[in-house]
Order: sequence, then C-alpha cells, then structure tokens
Amino acid sequence: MDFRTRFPLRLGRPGVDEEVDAELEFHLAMRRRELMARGMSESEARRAALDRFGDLKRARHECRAIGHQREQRMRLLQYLSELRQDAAFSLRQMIATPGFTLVAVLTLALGIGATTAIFSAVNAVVLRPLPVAEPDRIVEIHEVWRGAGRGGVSAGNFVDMAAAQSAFQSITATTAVSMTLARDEGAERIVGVRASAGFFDVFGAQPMLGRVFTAAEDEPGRDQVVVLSHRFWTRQFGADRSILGRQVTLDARPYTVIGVMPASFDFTADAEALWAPIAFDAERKAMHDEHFLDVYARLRPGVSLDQASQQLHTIAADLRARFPQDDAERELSATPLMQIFVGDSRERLFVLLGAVAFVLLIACGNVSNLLLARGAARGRELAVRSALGAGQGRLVRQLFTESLVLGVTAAIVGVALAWGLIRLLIAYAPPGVPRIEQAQLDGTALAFAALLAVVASVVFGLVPAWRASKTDINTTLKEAVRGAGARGARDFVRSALIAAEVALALVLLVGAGLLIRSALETQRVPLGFNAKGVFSGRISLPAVKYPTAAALLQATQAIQDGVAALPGVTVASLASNVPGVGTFSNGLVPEGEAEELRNVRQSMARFVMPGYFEAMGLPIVKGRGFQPSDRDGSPLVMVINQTLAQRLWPNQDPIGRRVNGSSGKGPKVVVGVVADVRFEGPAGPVDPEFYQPIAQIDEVAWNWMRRSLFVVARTGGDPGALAPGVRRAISGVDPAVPLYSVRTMEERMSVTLETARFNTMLLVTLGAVGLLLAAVGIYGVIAYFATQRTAEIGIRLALGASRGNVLKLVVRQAALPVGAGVVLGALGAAFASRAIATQLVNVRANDPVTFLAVAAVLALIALIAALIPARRAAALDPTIALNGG
Amino acid sequence: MGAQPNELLHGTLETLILKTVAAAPRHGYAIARWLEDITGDVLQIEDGSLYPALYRMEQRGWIAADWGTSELGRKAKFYRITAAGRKRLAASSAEWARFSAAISKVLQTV
Repeated sequence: MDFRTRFPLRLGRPGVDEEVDAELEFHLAMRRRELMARGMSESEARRAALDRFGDLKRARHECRAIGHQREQRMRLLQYLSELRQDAAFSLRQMIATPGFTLVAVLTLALGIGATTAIFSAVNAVVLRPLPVAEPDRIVEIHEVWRGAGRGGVSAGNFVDMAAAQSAFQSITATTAVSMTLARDEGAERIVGVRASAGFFDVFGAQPMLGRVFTAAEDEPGRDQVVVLSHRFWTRQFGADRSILGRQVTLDARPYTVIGVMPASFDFTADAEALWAPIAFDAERKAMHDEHFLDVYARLRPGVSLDQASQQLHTIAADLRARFPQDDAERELSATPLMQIFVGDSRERLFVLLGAVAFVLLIACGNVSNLLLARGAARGRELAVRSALGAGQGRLVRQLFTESLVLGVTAAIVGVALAWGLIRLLIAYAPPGVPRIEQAQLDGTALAFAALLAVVASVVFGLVPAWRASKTDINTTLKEAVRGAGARGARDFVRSALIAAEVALALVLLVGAGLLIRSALETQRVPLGFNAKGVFSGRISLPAVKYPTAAALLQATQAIQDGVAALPGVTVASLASNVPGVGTFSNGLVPEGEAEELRNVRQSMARFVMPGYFEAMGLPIVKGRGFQPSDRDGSPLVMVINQTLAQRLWPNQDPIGRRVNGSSGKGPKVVVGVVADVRFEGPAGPVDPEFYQPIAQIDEVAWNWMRRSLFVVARTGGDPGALAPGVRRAISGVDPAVPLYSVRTMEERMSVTLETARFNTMLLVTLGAVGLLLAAVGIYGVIAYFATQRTAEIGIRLALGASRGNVLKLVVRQAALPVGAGVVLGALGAAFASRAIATQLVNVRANDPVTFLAVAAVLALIALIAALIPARRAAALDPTIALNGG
Repeated sequence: MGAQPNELLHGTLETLILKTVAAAPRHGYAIARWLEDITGDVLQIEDGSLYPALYRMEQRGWIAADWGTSELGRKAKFYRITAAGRKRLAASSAEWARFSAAISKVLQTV
C-alpha cells in the first residue's frame, strides 16, 4: 500500500485547495494538448478546452468544499483512532500492572465516591429548588424584636400588614398544630397546618384532587374543611380517590375533606399531614400581642426583595406607632424561604463537601506520585516513541489519555461506592436535615462524578505529563540505561506533592480536632438538671372537651395522680414545656418599677404542676418549690431561675418580692429560686426563666401552650419502660387523649447534640482517611528516594557511616516537605476553620491547642511513614548495595 | 456552458466512473477520455461535472486517489477503485441490468 495514503496528513501533502487547482489545471492542459494535436491553434484550443469543461468556477468550488469536508472528517477519525489506541494501550498497561492499578483506582475511587455521595446530599438538601412555581419569589416574613432573631407575627399585625402591603401578590399566616385524629382503633397525633386563605396561592400549588379552601371558608364557623397532603392521604386513606366529601374528626370536631395536594407538595419526609383554615375571629384579628404566626408571601412580579423590605419597614413603623404596648421595638423583615428552609444545613454540608474534596485532592496527590514513579520506569519507552516521531504534544496526549482511563475506571468504582455511602448518609443523618432522604445517584450526581473523573485526571495527570513533556530524549535514553533520570527536578516535584498532601491533611485534621474539642467541651457543660431516669411524653387536651381552666386542671391533676401511682415512679408532674422542646416567653416587671418597655425583663415561661422540680432533679437554690396549696384563689406565687433573679434584683434576696406580668391578675410573689437550665441542650444558652403553678394560670395561658402538656416522671429504673404504664394511666382519665412524643430526657438532650456528633464523626473520618493517604504518600516518596540513593548509601556505609547517620539522611529528606506542608496547612486551616466557627462550643476557630496537637500528630505520623523506608535503607548490606546499584 | 448530460439517471455517472477505474487506476482526464471513446459521445458528460463526482465518490470511500506521474511525465492525481467501490459497482450493474431489461420488455410489448 502506498505510504502516502497510510499517512495522508503527516507527510506534507499539499493543501486541499492547491490540490484541486493542480488537478483541474492538469485536465485542461491535457485537453488543450489533445485539441492542438487535432490541429487547433493554441488560443483556439485554450478556448475550446474551457468551453468543454463547462462551469470551471463552480466545479472548483464544489471540489474544494468536498475536499475540506473530507479532510476534517479524516482528522477526526484519526484523532478518534489514536484515542482508541491510547485507551486500549492504557487498559493493557493497567492490566499488566495490577498492583499499581488496584492501589491507584481504589485510592481515587474512595475520593470520587465520597465526594459524589456528599454532593448528592448537597444537591438534594441545598441546591435543588423547592418544587413549587418560582420558589425564589417566596419569602417568610418575621417580626424582629430588638434587632435580633426572627420571631413570629401576631394575628393583628398580620391582618394590618396584609391590608397595607402591595409588594406581595399573596400573603398567608400559618401555624403548625398538633391535632388528634379520631380513628376506629383509637386516637392518633398528627401535625397539621392552619393557614389563612392565601396559603396555596403563595406556594403556587394546585390540588391534585378536589379544591383548596377559599377566603369564605377562612372564617369562624365555616372553617371545618381540610386539604390532605399526598403522603397522609396515601398512608391513612390508601390513596382512596373517593375521599372528597368524607368527614374526618380532628380534635373532636368534624371536618370535610375538600382536596388532596400532589406528592410534590410534600417538601420533606416529616412535612405536615393536612391543611385547615386558620379562621381568625374578630377578637384575634385585633390582637397585636402573642407573636406566634409563621407568615409567608409571594413577591408581586417586578417587585424586588429590597423594595418589599422597604415597604415592610414602613408598615412596621406604623404598627409601632399605633400599638406601642405590643409592637414597641418590633421590625418586620422578609427572608427568602429557601434560606430558612435549608437553614444551617447548607453551611454544614458545604463544609463536608470541602472536606471530601480535600480527601480527593490528597488521593490525586498519591496517584500523581504513583504515576511519577511509573513514569520514571517508562522514561525509556516514551523516549523511544519520541525518537520514532511522536511529537511532544502527542506524548502528552497519550499520558493524559492514560490518566483519563484511570480516572474513569476509578469513577465507575467510585459511583458504586457512592451508592452505598448515600444509603449510610441517609440512615445516619441527624434529624432536621431537610430532604436528606431525597439524596440519590441521579443524573446530576452521575454527571458530577464524571466531571470529578475528568478534573481528577487532569490534576493527577498534570505533573507526570508535564515531566514527560520536559524530558529530553537524549539524556533520558542515556540515563535510563543508568537508571537515574533528571533527579533534582523530579525530587522537587515529589517533595512539593508531599508538602501539598500534608497541608491538606492538616487542614482536615484541624477541622476534625476543633469539632472534637468542641464535643468534649459540650459534655463538660452542666445542663442544670438531672436528666437521668426521667420519662417524658406529651398530651393535648382539646378545647371542645375541656373548655374551661377548671376542667383542664381537673384532667391534669387526675393524670398526675395516675402516673404518680405507677410502680417504680418516685415522683410525677406535668409541665408546659420540658428542656429540648417548645418555648414561649413573657415580659416581667418587678413591683415598684413603672410598667414601661425599658423595665420589661423578657423571660421564658414554664407552667408546671407541683413536683416538677423534684421530677426533673432541678435543684431549688433558695426558698421552696410549688405545693398543692398553691391553687386558684390562694396568693399567686412564682419560682424564678438564678439568671432571672439577677436581672430582676441584682445581688438582692428575691424571696418574698413581687413581680407583675404573665398569666394571672395581679403581682406574683417569688417563693423560690431554682438552678439555671440549659433548655436547648449543652450547646444552647442560659435564658432567664420563671415557673408558675398550672393551678394559678388563667384560660388564655392554656392557649399559649396550645392546650398541650408534657408528662414527666422520675424513676429509679429504666425511664423508657414507663411508656405503657403512663399510657394506661392517661387512658384511665380519658381514652381519647393520646400520648405522643415519648422520649427519655436523656434522649431529648442528646438529640440536640446529634447534629454536632454526626458532623464531628464525618469530619473525623475524613481527617483520618486524609491522614492515612498522606502517610502512604510520604512513605512512597521516601521509599523511592531511598531506592534512588541505594548506591550512595552503600558508599557511605562502606566508608564508615553509622546506621544512625543513614537513618538521619533519609528521614531528613522527608523533613523539609513535611515541615513546609505543616506551615502551609496551618495557614490554610486558620483561614478554613472559620467555616465551622458557628458549630463550635467554647472553642475558638483558631484554638492554638488544637493546631499544635494536630501538627504534632501529623509530624509524628509523617516521621513513622518516613522511618520505615529509612530503616530499610540503613539495614542495607554495603556490598550488595554497591553491586546492585 | 454546455448542455446538461442527457438526463443521466441518478447514479449512472458514478457507475460509469467506477467501471472506468475498475480495470486500472486512471487520472481524471483519462476517465473523461475513456468515457467519450466508449460511449461514442452519446453521453455528453461535461468535464466540469466529472470532478465533483470524483470528489464525492472519494469521500464515500468508493474510490481512492494518489498523486503519481502521468504518461507524459506530469504530476497527476490517479483514482483507483476500492473494495467498497467494487461492491457498489456490482450492485449498480445488476440494478441497471434489471432496469434495462424491464424497459426493453415494456418497449417490446407495445
């Protein structure tokens, strides 16, 4: 076969255009020759030849176009064929060196798999928009009191705001309620949402069946209609399509089912089961106190968040002026819903994503090192290819193809790994991470894994390919025989890789170390009460059945007596909230001070039955707790915690002093002081708290606690085993009252730590993997250095150097890059640790103890990793070393 | 501008070219001359339409081209038939035979 057709593009074939011209010119010349041979003159022949040819211009143009097309296609075909050759060659090489392949693929797969798994969680929780129309137009509106936090909105404020605003096309007030659903086989607690009529417009959601409630139904007396969520409809009613019009009994009232929402409207696995009208009555609409509503709104098209905030600002100023008592120092603010929905999961997940990316980078560093080592062994092969005419670009391309094949193989293994990791992640995720259960290996996650494979291939393939492109054929061919290679430069590259790996590992470990210290600190924080041996569960007493404070108190008393009589229970009580769940606050003013806002001490309210302090193991510091004699009609009493005592009467004895505010007409006498409780768990703050006997609160205060109480009981045995007994005791009072949210107090306190624990565990795992990979990297490079210097070490030993000298010589080679890595890593960690600052309790993000401890651990591990090959080198027999080298 | 080739059926020129280069590699002018000689100017193939056809056929892989030296010592592009071209030639020859047989039959019955 002709050489030129086999290598059509390589060997200086003329361009397509010239070729066409030459061919056509040849044709015309031949034709002229023929015509002249027949007797024409030269000029006649020229004309006749052209005439015969026809449209020369068009033919030339057509031929050129086809020629160009053909050339492009051939170039592409050649490129693909080379790619295939390279890929096939890479696969053969991978199979030929199974040890190398296994280590490289597994290392990378670990990095890619873990990163893909975390990414899929980030995608499910943070990146994916809410499944509603234009989710970025939905905001949540809060009242902000004294410029801090985000609080609920009062009904009066909502009604006035809704009337005054024009920035939102729809606005809704909602409140999550726990309701009792009557079932054939007993009662069940479900979480529903009561919402004003605009609710479904705000979320731009259409019902799948039936309809949603109208403004007319959002009125007292006409509000007994309910829209079911898809999940609840499926679980409770077996997705029965004839559900519309059926009656359900909620909190002892009948409701008609009018609609079912689509599955996409279930944002999370624990989302609400149903929606009913909130139906404010006239009194509630005029009530500007009791700021408990969650208000959502959809921005009108063309209105920006800033413009809406401006308007809310104006409305808030008006409300402050009109209701100085209820709205003083209150501002209105709008926050995009997505921001609130995702909350701090966003921050935590991005920290984890950053951490796995670091592990992946360390893995890349190791593979890069492996490839360098192999590149040295293959220097000769590459030099021979180069000598045979392969250009530098072609060689680099071949090496990149090899990296890519390795990367893609690792990605395939990594994706399988990610599949398992995602399941682990979902199973062990802390409560309260929204949509985590939706994490999956979908198209986005797979595309991300593919992207990782390519990026990782470039990252770990860059250095070896760059080295190869710098290689001088002559020196390599000569030196390869001697087994040396351009050592100085190569050693530097390897050392730089070690430094980078150490730096990355240090950043990871500092993060993990800070979280561990924070966890230790957290455990040392006293809760203020004794959570051990305490049972807790929740009950609700519906207004239909228990309309008056007296009826409520009677039932409460009966339940307390029933639970206290259970075997094993030393003391039982009931309370409006227990540490870990639910809270509401009230303003107190000490007697003698004017009832003005500046004198108000905003404090956390707890309404309790006698025996609460004993049941919770909450020490009474001064005075007394509550007694059965503190009842309706007897003097109003109050117990405060130490923090509130300081705020009310700094450094004075509070016993016997009187306070105004909260439930019950008239001042309350402080009869006792109890210890401070960290209500939200060890990581939470200490708030000013006050306690009042349930027997002395009025009916409106029952609404503040939403007619729901916690049953608590102390036992010498297992508090978890008390549930059936407590349930029986409650049934004895009223079988329609279900017990729910059953948990020991220890469990309640640990739930608040679970998120922190999960993050700590993950970051520690990642840090450990990073450390291990970095140690393997250091070991590999030092071992390589030691092998390279076998001859030199042999000479040194022969000349009388001690084993210790050799040991030092080899270890010293690791010291510089490890040292540089530690310094760089510490700088990086000082910057990166700010990302977890908000997750730390009693530890600063730049805690020097953690930094020093981590640096020391890392240096120690690095030393061990370097010592193994160093000891091997020192144990060399000089004669063998010299002969073999 | 000469007349269009007298209504050459689609693909006929390509079949003829394949036949022309089937025996031995030829350059474009030789192909044109050969067609003129054989068909006795019945098929008035314009030189200008020959080359685009050759380029298209080369792209389709029916013929391949190499630069060589012509009988008069000039550099010329020689076309030769490929395996795919031979297959194509066989197929279109058979088709042509069927076609002309059918036409002849029709004409005879009238």
